[in-house]
Amino acid sequence: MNFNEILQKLCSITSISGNEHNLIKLIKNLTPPTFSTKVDNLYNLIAINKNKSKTENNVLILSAVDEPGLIINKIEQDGSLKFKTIGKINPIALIGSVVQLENTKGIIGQKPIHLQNKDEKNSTPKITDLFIDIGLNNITETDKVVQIGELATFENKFINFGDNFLNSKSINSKIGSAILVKLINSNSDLDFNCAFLTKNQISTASATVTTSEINPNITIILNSIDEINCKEITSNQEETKPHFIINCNPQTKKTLFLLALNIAKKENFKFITKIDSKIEKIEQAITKTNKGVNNLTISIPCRQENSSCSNVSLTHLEETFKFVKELISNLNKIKVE
Amino acid sequence: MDLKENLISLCKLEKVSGDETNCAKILKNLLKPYSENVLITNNNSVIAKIQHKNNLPEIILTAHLDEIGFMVSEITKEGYLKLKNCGGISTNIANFQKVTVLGKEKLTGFTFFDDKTKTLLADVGLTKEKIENLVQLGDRVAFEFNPIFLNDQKFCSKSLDDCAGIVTILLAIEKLNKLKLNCKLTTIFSSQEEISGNGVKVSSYFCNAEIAVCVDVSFAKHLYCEDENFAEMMKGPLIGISPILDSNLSEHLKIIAKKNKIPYQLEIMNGLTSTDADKIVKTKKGIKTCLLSIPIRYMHSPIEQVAFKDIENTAKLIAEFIKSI
Repeated sequence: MNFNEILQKLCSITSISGNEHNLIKLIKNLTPPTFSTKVDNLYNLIAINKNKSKTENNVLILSAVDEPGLIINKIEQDGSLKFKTIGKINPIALIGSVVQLENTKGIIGQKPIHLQNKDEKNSTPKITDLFIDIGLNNITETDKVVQIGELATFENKFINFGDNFLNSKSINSKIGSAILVKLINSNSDLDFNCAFLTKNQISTASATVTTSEINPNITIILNSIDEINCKEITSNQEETKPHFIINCNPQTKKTLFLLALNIAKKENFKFITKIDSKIEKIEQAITKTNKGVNNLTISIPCRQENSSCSNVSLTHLEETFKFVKELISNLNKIKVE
Repeated sequence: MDLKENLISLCKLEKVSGDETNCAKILKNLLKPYSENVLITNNNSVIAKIQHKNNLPEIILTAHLDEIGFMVSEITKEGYLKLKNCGGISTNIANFQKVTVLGKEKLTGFTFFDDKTKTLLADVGLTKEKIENLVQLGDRVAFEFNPIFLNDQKFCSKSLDDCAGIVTILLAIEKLNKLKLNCKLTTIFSSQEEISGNGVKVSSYFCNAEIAVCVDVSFAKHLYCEDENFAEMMKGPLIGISPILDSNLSEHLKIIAKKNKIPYQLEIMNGLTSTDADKIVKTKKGIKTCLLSIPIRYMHSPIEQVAFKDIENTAKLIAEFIKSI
């Protein structure tokens, strides 16, 4: 399976935090028999490598499968729907978009520019200022079609565009899992375990629980980073943009970070490092598990995260996949102290 | 004429102000069954003369065919296209949208706003070198949006401003087709309304009309946009009342609506109308003008929304108005 096929499958199923079971089922069906699978109480999918070989480190690769979405919390008298966001969505990404509810579609509009005052033109609206219009005229009509508590997601089709770019709603939330799916299907003799995490948009519970279950000494976290808002990428003057980012924060084990760095340089990958004093919540949660775990986060650049038009370069995915394979291979041979 | 089918196909066309050629050709073909003489002006307006074989008074029916969009102002070293607005578009609406870049070939792109340079950019997924072979500065960029029906009553699409007006006039012409009228009709589908109004102004010189009916869209109420002056959806067209419009014509429209039980609302304006009506009025010796507007939500966005009932009632009112002359 190539990345185009894998992502088309993953993006075809909506997986808003707390409602990932259909996607987990799909990924379970994509897992080869060389891994034994288990779906835990939080619907995380844990895949354990059956072909144990002598490996210097117990490696766990993690990626989240959930995407952000909307939950309806009120029906207004005129039939409009008020909502809250599940996970992080920029309110601007919602304006002018089409959303899919269970039985109907809706649009999220805004006051026309002609009617906006100076403050409204220049400011980011709040989620509480937005609403979904499903084209009905009053609360009585809407009540028959929509329930309070119902979920809504961006409506968008998966498309290829430009030179090897893929576009789909919230594709950024599926790219880590896509790399993981390809890894477990790569018929290599690499020794690693993996977990597809649910509820990551709202909690670190899944990361804690799966790490606790598998008890690795090293976890590699695969996630996305918004290229446009990452100054390490935007200030990069080179013609070819980096395919992935190796992250380092005060908690990152120096030996692990240097190992990754040296592999990336030796194999001539196009990458950059991101040094940050901020420690992501997922890393904080994992580190405290069991007797302590060393983490490394690899981020794949994408654009317009968590919107109806998120996109990612296929080349980024291919190169990150090759790098992670190389990294696991080295981690199987070199003990990280 | 299938209202829904025509509305969908017209809305999907790219016709950003100043680059309406393709749309003008299609509209010329749509008008040919009704008109003995259809022409496209130098600035892409379409003029059709209907039942012009007599000395009866001439009435203009006009709507604008251009849509808001963007122009490419620069190709950055990363291969992004810097965009400038053609027409009024808010940055919030323009961000996170799918667009079509109209270069040597059509390219799909996605917009994003660069906070550092405060510019709107489009990403087409190509390198600068590849883009430079396909896109020129000044090329237009249009919103790309697949029209949708909302619960059968309402329709959402880009460029309902003013495809709704165009389809309304086409519906009205169909109702009047082969009837013996006491006037001759000239349909003007004008270009460049969103940027200057020059399309209708120039087109009016091809006519000798004393009366004009301008059809456009106007604000409808929705949550957080509930000014008492705004229209209700599904309650019929807005008849414009303004010092620049002819009060007798506006009054006549009200009488015709009441007589034919066509629901209508009033749009009270205390100055200019911000439509092509303001331009037609001062053409040649001056033309008595009235304005009918279709209620629309989320104007100047890719998700503009109208109700089919409102389009049908507006077309009915125009047809009855013409029959009453």
